[in-house]
Amino acid sequence: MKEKKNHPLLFIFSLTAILAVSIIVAISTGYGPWAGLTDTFRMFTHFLTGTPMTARDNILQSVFVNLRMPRVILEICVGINLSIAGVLLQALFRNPLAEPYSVGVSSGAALGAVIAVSIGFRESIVGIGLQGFFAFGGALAITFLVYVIARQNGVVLTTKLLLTGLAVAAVIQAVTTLMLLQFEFIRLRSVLAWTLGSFSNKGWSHVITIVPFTFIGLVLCSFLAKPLNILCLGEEKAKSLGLNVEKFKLSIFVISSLLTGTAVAVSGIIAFVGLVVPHIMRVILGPDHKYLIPASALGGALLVVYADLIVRILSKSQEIPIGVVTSVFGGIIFIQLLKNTQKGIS
Amino acid sequence: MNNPYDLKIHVEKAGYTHPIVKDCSLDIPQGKFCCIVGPNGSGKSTFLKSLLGLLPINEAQVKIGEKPFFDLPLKMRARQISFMLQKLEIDFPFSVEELVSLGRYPHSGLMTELTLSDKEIVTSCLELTGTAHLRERRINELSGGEYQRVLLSKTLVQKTPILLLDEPTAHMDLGHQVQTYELLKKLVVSENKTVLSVCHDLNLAAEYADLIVIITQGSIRLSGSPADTLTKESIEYLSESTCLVVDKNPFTQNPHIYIRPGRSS
Repeated sequence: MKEKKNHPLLFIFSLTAILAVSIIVAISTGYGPWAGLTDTFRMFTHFLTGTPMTARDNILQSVFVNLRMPRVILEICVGINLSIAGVLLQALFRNPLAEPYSVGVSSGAALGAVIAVSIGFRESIVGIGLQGFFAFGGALAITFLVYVIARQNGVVLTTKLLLTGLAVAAVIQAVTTLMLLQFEFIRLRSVLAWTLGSFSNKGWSHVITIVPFTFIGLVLCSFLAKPLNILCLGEEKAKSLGLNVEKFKLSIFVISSLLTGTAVAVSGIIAFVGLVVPHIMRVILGPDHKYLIPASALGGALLVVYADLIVRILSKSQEIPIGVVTSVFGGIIFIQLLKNTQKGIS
Repeated sequence: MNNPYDLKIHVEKAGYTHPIVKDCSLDIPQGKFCCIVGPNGSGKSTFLKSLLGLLPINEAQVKIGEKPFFDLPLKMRARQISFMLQKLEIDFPFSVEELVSLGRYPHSGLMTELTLSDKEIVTSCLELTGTAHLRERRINELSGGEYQRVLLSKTLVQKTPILLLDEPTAHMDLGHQVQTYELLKKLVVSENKTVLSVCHDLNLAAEYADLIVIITQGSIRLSGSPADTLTKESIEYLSESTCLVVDKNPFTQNPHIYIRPGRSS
């Protein structure tokens, strides 16, 4: 009956170590046979000792600095954002099945992207492109709309929030589909690729867009662990324990929308990370947010890094969308966990 | 009666979409065990929740000592009154110890860890309810009665002078029901705490309560000592049944309700 408890700090430390190794593996992997692990170490020793570089080294350096590094950092940030947003929303809805996309964020982002493509194709503002910028705006606008509709007499009933999210998403998706029908093939393709998520053709400008949000999100979340635990007890109980429930709900709603919105803006829609990572961590560590938040952040980063690694290894002439990989990958791990734990998840 | 934690309650209106409880006034001196009884759906839980301001419609004045309770910030309120909900469904598999520790929230800072004394309080409260052996178990593995005793521990670790309990003995076997009321009585007598408990077992109420409050259709019908409130007449409107008769417990001389089957009218 008694579960053997994993030591949470040891587990989090191991995840950190695995992530560090994975980063090295990830920046040593790319299209084609070159710029592998040995080259990564070559670059590293160059950097440390300052030995003179050959012409090939210069190209290598450019590949690492301008392509591989920003890509891996982006993957990590997106993974952290999505999984932390998932933890926050699951606590908010007191439902282990909630995720960033169940409150209408993805439908809003998709609409924003489609509008961007219809008015100006592939124009770039603030570094992340018109598509990303509009997607971010769309995500926030729809989240805000959902919140306003669900609010009644200053109180937001959580079930109403969830259902409003689903209803609004249905309407927005219909509008998006109608708009897509007006597009010619090349624009359609661009939107489709975006909705399935991708890390190709991304650079430092994208990194700069997301890193501040990831960093602030992580800092804020370290203050939220305790009240999140309290919120899991239900709103009445939480209030009777001294938590300002309405204010707290609004703040985690805003934080999770910003985290998801920025992730969507830089990488498109990547499904399943926000749902599956907090779940897995809860099975392993239990529901205490003190450990759940850092473990989910690391787990999310790992899942996205490896998913994109698989994308790069498998892709030949055409890139496989990363959303497909995260779904398959995360889904299989999740099913395995469900089979192994009889009572871990209620 | 001028104790620092004397309770003065006046609930004007309370409910969710429409008022369920109307116009209830009640004074409870510090150190009294008060049982709230009444038929299903009469507004007992609503009454308790309105004292904490938890409801959408919540026009109430509550004074502790002479100080208005709702003027206090939320965390200070949670140090004065603790509340055990009737049904607390938690979808996340916390361990018993984790769950009970959450009751220390009003006494802790945002970032600080549980102190040694917090942990001692948690342990002692688990021991009081006889659940110390369950501390490592996940709450979704407990039986109904065990879970209820864990929730009581969680309410006790808040260490408040006033406790509101909504059917604290639901799902418990008879032995644990009595142990729970013995424990509450001890807190009232030896620590001068005030307990307000919603209770369906009139015999438990008769034996342990100093004050019984009968609520029907959202207002207080009668309040007073068990002998004054649990009478032949009140049992009729409380139960709407003729199968119940009031007599005395031969051991304590308190009112006792007996069942006489087959007398339904």
